[in-house]
Amino acid sequence: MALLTAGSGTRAQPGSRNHEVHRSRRRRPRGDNVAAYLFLAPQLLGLVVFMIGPLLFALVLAFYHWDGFGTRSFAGLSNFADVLSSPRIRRSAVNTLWFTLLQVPGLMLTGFFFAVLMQRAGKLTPVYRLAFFAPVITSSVAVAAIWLWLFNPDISPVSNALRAIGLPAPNWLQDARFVIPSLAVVGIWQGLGYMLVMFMAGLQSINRTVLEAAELDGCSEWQKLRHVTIPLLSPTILFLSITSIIGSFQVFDYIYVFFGGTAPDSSRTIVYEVVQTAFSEFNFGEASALALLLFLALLGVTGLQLAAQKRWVFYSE
Amino acid sequence: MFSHNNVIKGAAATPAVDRRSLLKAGMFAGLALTAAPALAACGGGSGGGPGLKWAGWDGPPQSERFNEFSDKMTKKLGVEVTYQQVVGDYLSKLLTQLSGGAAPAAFYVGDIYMAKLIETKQVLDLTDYLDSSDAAVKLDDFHEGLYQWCKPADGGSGLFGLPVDCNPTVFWFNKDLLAEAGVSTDPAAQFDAGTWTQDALTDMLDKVRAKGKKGLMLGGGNWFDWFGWVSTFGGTLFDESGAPVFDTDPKAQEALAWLFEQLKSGNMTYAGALPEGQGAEPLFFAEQVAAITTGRTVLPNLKKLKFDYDMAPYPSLSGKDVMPVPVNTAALSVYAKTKDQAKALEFLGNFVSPEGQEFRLSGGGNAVPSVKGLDGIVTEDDAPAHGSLFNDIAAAGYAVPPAMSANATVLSELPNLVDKMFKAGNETPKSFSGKVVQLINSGKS
Amino acid sequence: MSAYSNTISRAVTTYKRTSGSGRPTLHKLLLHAVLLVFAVAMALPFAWMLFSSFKPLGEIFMQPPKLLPQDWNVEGYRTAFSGADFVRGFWNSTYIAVTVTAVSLLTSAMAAYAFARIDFWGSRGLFVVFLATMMVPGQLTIIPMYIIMGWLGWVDTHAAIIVPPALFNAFGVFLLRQYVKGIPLELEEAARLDGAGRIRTFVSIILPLLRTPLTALGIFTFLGQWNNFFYPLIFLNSSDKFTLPLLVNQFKGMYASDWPALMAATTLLAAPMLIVFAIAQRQIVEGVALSGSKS
Repeated sequence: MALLTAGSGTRAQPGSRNHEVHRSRRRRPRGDNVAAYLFLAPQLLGLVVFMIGPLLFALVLAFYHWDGFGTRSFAGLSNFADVLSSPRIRRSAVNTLWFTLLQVPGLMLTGFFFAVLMQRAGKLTPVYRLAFFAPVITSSVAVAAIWLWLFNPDISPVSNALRAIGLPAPNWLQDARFVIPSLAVVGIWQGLGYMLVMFMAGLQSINRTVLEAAELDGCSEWQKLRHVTIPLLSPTILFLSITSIIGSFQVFDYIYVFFGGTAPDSSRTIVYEVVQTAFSEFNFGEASALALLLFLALLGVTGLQLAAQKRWVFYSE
Repeated sequence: MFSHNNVIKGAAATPAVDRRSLLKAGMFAGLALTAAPALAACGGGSGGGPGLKWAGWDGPPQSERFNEFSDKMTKKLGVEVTYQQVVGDYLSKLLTQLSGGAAPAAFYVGDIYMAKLIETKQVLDLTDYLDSSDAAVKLDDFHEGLYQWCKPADGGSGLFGLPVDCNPTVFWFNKDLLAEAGVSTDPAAQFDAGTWTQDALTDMLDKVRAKGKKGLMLGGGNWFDWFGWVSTFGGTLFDESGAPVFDTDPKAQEALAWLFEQLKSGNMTYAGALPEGQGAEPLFFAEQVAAITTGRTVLPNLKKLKFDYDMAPYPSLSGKDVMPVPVNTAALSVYAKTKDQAKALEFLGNFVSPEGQEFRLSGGGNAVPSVKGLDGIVTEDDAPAHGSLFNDIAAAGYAVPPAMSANATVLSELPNLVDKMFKAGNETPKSFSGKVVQLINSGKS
Repeated sequence: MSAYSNTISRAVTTYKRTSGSGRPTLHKLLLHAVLLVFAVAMALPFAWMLFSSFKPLGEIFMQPPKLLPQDWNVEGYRTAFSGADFVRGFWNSTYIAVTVTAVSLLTSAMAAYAFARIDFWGSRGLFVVFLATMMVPGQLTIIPMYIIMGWLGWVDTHAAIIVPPALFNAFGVFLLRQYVKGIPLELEEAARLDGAGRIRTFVSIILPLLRTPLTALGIFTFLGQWNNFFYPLIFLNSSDKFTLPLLVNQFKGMYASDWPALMAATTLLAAPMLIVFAIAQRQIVEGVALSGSKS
């Protein structure tokens, strides 16, 4: 869940070092490295002590056979071969992709839409924001209880309502075609509050004078949105898309709370497979191999987004 | 966006207030950082420590009973005995502790991973303890079908865990719903009269279906969800050597044929791949389904509901026998690397002995003793009315078949495979059982 | 606010008033209708959880379902409170969340400043490493983490769940770095000309301007810690150290759950966050006002 939160960098320049170019007279003062590492010290300490070791462990394990306690044995690339040839894991990868494609745009579009609406809601805004934020703070236990009930084909009010108006009510969680979209709905429901807060913060940071100048120039609401707001918000959007994709690719909690340890093929995702393979099948090597592949995929996707930013992300100044 | 002038003015205009509050924030943060370890230390001693720690997954109200038991054992053993409840994914935590070499002295073991723990020598062989003269419990005290899975999968000697209690699957039914549907004699009464046959059940389900409610729900694709429907009608699931034979055994095939018929007609519904206790049970509580097959775990919840309920064994071909059916069970084992083995073994013995089980399970427990003779527990409060049958069912029943518990992949794959097949709905008994047997045999590597 | 922008705003308001007045009202109505419908849809599950905590078991799964309890009943709460030490759990969760949030905001801001403003050796590579840590599932690193905590002697202590996230927060660093990059360099140059060192610049110029993102980050960090389940599950053994999510999960049994108690417990878990958010959300709006933009 944590990775669904994102920042709004309305003035951001993710990954670029453009400002360096503009300052040809800038030299690197000698004390800079020291200063930098001083500021970085706490985070670096945490990184080195708690992250580097475990991460390397997890990634190197991909090349070994290990069941959690017994002896390790070198496996070379056989774990990768197993992972790539397993039809179930391939299906899980497709599920994960499908889930991301549904959830990320869904979240961002609805988040943006409601953020824009709420800007104009005046006095009632805090109340609306609170209502939209309620799902964010609902713990996964309650989320599972509530949605299992809502998705139950027999006793759910949603299914009953659909039937009342003559539409078929599918078995949301058991029907292979509807599982991933249903999970995406839960994901959007729960993530909307985050998106909303981030977009609202971003929108609020946009200087009114620019918008007012546009109005004076005779721009309609829609034109203002298209030519002023969105470009100024684009660094935020990029940031949110990077972190949301990372989060969606790693979706696990929903599958686990809805299906426990016995999720059907149509609902499994990559991280679910990782956890199952490691802890239920005692095959940590294969789990790590899968995680390593996921890691590389995410690096690739993120890299692509960062590379593409030059095309559409607008940095002022 | 920041406009040049505004920001400078803004930044210049606020320093006084902000700096002070920042200083406060900084101080607080610094204080918190230094205080945290101190406070954490206040929270209790460091990880390891003297005393006997043991872990399980039960929460309140059972955990209260566990704490009381721990106190009793503290006095008896002379070391501090503490219960550590694991509130979520039990296996993740246990595995992590075992890998880190720091597991509790005794811990619950589920059927999926016992074989692995035995294989990797993480748990202690209990045979010597059980044979010794001052053991608190003897192997004979237990129902025989309940501990076979605690032996090594390769057939070697040794017993590495003892079932702490059990939950045989029984036929729970909603008396009110059945009466409404026109079922004149309920299953328990039929069993008493010796007429609780397969036909009687089919007839009952037909009537409920005619009324528009669900007759019987199949809780999932796991072994304990549907093996019973084969064994109760005389089908042989596994032969003496432990190999699966239900794809060829004629009675098993007949039983499966009946099962598939019920699924097709709508008398039985497959609940789907849902977490434990989430599929069939809420529907039973909501009075949407007339019967479910599950253990005594639902009893505390049933007591809170308004409708009249009771239980019966699975139906049988004869109409009056208690046939072998699945029994859910978990074991307590001793950590092989624990420092004080003697005390840990004594703890285990006392925990699973008849006295121990009686202490734990009486007064509103939700399980059935795994030892013989404790009739008082299952008939407590006379709820359910036929509760005395629990012990008989447990005595005749079987825990997870060794052929399956031997391989963790098989056990976790089975529900998935069965789920697919039930949903696709186009298997015959022969093809269905063939595929399941294939899966089980593939586990023998 | 400068006189300049005042003039502009007055001009704009006048402009707005003189344009057609019928459309804004219809728009507003539609706006509120849409918002209301969705707000209800979003909040309904939470409301169901809240009301279910006051229902007896039979009513929770009743068909057809009713939102409000017919038979208001606090049995769930009674079971929850007698089954788990909520006061203790509440205290644990609160002080852990506050500590982690406060410290990680500071350390993240410091690191963000370094990445955004200081051209130092290895900055690009290190930043990639930070990002990369977000791309590996946490479940795989739990075993080596446990071993490390064992070495530190922190198993079954709160230090194990406070120190790592307080010190290291790649996400927070990434977020704040974006914002810091947007602060005009002229401010820092001006400060440097005034003789301020890096620390002074950081404290007096950068931090105040990060108020909005710090608030947002603070909310989500606090929330993440408040609902954090997996790490406390693995590292905490004694129930007196449990955080609220662990206590709540106690009522979700292996095979059967005590539903009224579960609903009561999850409501108790969620309610404080709702209050925290209700108060904090104004900060996001107000935090921006000081930076010169009108809200």
